[in-house]
Amino acid sequence: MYAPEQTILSRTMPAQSMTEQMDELVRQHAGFVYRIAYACLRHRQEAEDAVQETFIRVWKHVRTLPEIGNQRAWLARIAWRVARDWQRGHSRAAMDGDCELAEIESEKTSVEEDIAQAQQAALLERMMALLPPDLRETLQLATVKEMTSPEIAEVLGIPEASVRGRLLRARRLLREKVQILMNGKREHGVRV
Amino acid sequence: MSTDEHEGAAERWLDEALEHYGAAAPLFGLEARIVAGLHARAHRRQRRWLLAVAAVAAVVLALTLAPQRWRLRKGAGGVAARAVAPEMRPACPAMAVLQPPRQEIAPRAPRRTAAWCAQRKADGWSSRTTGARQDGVRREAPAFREPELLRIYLRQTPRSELAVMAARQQTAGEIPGLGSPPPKSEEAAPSNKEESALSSKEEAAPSNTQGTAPSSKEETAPSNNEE
Repeated sequence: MYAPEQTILSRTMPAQSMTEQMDELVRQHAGFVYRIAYACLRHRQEAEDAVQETFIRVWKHVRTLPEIGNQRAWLARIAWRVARDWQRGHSRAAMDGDCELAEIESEKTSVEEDIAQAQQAALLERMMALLPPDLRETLQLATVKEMTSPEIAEVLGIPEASVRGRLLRARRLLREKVQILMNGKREHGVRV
Repeated sequence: MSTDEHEGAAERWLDEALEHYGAAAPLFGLEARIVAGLHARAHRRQRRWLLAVAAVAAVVLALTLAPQRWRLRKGAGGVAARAVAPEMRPACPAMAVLQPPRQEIAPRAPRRTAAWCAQRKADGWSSRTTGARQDGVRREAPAFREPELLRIYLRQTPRSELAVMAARQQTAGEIPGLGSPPPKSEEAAPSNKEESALSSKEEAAPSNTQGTAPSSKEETAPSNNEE
């Protein structure tokens, strides 16, 4: 949203104020940006590097920051693009499905549960890798807790209805795969 | 198990997996690391700007000073030999007095490249026959001019020196024809009369020496006609 008063403010903003504003932005949204990058890259260190790169890009446009209406969506879009570029540039086998045990949230006390969760995540990653790119990207963004459908639509540059439709299709495809997997394991006597 | 149950189980599994999939927390201190990285980058950028400004200033300084140096060098080579330009002349006469006169420097000789040598040779130049350095070299006089040259030499040399030389030679007995008695101390600057008297003495007493010296007669008695 355009706000003339804010524009004047931003142009006359001293450097100290700009730095403080940037620090505040980092403190507020670093976790959110990290989760977006992690949803795309599935690697802690690379996600952190992507966050750094995102805020460097934001720093270049810090003067126009007060002019931006939805800063969260704007940040999410930059983070998503940075992560996608990172993934293309660094051809790490991110989608190989080998989920690191260290990346699992260790809220559970049981080691067995941690291992089961890691296996579940690895399985889901493999299944998501088989999805069409547009469905996969939409689903990846939807897994970030803070992201709403309008924000996903803004990040991807598509209508909100399309986002909902893509999510439904993606979930249906994944469910079918899970069912096939469950049936196959039952036939072999393995408990899922 | 019915189909609905299968679908329900798959749905639950999928919900759970997606929930864990998106649950990722950054390592502790991510914000501080990012802020520190941004500040470091800003400092680096500032330093780079300073370096760039310094480099530009150095280039501008060099561009300002280089023509002056070039002009000075050119002036030393050829411009100074020419007349001083009117704009370079001091406007005030007092300044003209204060300013030392510019020394005229001869223009540099052309470099002796292979092409230059070839051109000179084509023009008929030979390093043995011509050349600035060889102009100053004294050549041997022809033999028939030797008595004349000797006479000129004797005429130009002070008498006392001649007497000393003759005495020495007489003592050593190297040149018997030039034998003459050693001059007295009073004969510091003999006149023409004394000179003629001396020559007559030499003519009168040639027997002091071993041989005759017809040439010495000629030499020691320079003809007054020539003078």
